[in-house]
Amino acid sequence: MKKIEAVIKPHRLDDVKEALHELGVVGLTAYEAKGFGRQKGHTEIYRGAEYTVDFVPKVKVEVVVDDALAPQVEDAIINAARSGKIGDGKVFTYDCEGAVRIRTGERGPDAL
Amino acid sequence: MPAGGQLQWYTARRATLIATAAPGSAAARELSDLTDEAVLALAGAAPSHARLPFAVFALGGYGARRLLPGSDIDLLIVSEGSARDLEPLVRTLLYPLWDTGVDVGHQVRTRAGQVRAVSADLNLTVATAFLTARFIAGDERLAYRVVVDAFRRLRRDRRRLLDEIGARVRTGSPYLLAPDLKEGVGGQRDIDELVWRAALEAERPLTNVPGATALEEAQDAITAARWRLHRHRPTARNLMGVADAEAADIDADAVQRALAVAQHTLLETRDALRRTKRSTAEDPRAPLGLADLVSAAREGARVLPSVERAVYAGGLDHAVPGFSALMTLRRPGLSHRYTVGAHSLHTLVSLFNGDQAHAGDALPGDAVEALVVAALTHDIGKREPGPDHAERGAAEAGSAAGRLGLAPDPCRIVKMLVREHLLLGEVATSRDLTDEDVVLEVAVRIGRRDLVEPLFLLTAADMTATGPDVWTPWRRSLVVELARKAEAALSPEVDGTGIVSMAHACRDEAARSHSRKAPRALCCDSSGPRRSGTSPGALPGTCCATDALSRACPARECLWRSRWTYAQVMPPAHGCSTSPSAIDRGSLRRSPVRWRSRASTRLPPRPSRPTVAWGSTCSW
Repeated sequence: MKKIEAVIKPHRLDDVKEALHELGVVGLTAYEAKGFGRQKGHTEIYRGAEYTVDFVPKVKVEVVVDDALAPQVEDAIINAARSGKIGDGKVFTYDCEGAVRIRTGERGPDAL
Repeated sequence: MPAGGQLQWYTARRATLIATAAPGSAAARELSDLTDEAVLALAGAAPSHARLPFAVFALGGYGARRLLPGSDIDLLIVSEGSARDLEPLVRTLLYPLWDTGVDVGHQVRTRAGQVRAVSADLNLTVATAFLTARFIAGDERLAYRVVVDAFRRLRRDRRRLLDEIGARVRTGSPYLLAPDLKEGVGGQRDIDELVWRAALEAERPLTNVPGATALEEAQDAITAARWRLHRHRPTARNLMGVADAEAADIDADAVQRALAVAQHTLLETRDALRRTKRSTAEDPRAPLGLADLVSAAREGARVLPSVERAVYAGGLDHAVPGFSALMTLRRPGLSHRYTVGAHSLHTLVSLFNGDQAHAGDALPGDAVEALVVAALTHDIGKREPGPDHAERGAAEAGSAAGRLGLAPDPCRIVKMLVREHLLLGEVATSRDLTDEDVVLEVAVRIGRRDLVEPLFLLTAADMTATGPDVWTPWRRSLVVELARKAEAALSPEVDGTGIVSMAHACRDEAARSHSRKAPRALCCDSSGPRRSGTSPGALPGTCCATDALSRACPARECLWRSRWTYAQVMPPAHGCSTSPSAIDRGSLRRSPVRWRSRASTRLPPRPSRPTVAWGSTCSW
């Protein structure tokens, strides 16, 4: 199993969700997140007050899928989240050692 | 021993009663009477009662003959002897009750011990539980002496006890969509307080409390709702969640009204008691004027209870007919915590507080007034269920503003604010804020630069009032970004950010050009919406590039018209890097111009007529 984490622009969440749904991914976890990449932060002024935008609002999506499905999931996220502009985000993939559905006790891919 | 032991008859009748009785005060009395029967039967069978006088009292809610399916049976056993002497009696009385599975709370005391226990030095709960004590079984003369002695002590400590009762912690609001029906504000404890005060202020009975009948009805509604809740889900006995209310078939609207009645009756009673000592107070029912509302917005949440009370009593109905009914109107949805009216008042007192402290200081007076009226009326469209409440409520909000004395222009601002109060929040979290078109659509819907800040403040207050998880720093940063960009787009500056101002200038230029040359190209779109009052010679295709455009046609349409007009009028030499001939309706929609992707253009000296549009470098 692989755990795939994607940090994306907030407005792309629905597109990513749809794309994963089409692939048969039945569950995902999404967080409101803040962060920055190579662009770093910048300072902005609004209504006379200076805002240091160190962290840009993002959404972090996590899914765990079967090994075979992982490349397709990565591609689906990338295609759904890409605008070609700075700040489109990142996708990280990890090995996932185990999963348990608490209600039934099922383990491994069956628990996904 | 089977469940219930010697009280099997009680268990069976109790179960039938709980399942079949119509929930309400009558059912609670019936259950209380049935339990009295059981206690009386057990006390009669006690082996030692003939030798040692004792008295059994029901306390608290049971004492008030208000026993609910999940209530504890609170008993007080008093005797002249020691607790040890009473052990056989207690065993006879309590063990069978425990066997029924009902929670039984018991206190065993001597007469002197009971007098000490109700003293204000000790536990407030013990004292208040005794205020509704009711003799059930045992020695009547002993019971009489216990009551007389204990009440003599309570009266002596009356002031201190009343102070403690008045200072008890009350949390929540009667207007929460998921209220705590027992401990929350407006819940059972508030009605109990009125009863306690009546018992302690015996020489001044509270029979003249306004709305005594309403209070009885409120008690009945709360008891009925709690009865249903206990029956539905014994583990969550008093918290009426939105789903619980539906599943337990509770008349949630009636409960909401009952909580409001209890809360406001209690506040009025407290005030009335205070007034006898001090001077007269303001009439809480006096109609609220614009100045009162602005002052409440500035004061913040501190004044919320009194504003709620005034509004519930009809203090705003002169401006917004039926607003008092909104105070108990439930429209549960997403993260909303409060009823429609209460949410509006929370929005009002959040305008210039919390994150937005001093935010409105720089706003002109009429903008503040418009903002205040918009905060009050932004959800007025929720009178009717269903989507598009913002659009639906705009006209009524404008009328309300007029009735409150606002001039026509602020009235129009109120309408815009109400119509667009969801705009910033929705767009910021669901659209790409680096997309120029998205920002311009928002900008033309707002229409004027000076209205961005009021709309931002309304959005912030609305989201703050909605629920604790809505106006998060994460969401705030997105809304701030959008507001900042929309403000720049509406800026009169022509340094590449004043896009909408630019469009207005283009419209004027096109109109002038039309009146001189009447070029056919500018008249190509005759199907567009026409505004009455458009000056003779103005172009059908350009009339929409005005503030009023946002009211006349969708923002996207407006955006296209503005750009089209610009492309028709401005020669390429003025800095537009896209050939006008290449701009048509379709290509603009398919390929929105990106501010950052455009080549920088050198601006001509700042002219009296703005000349630069969306092709230039954007500072953000």
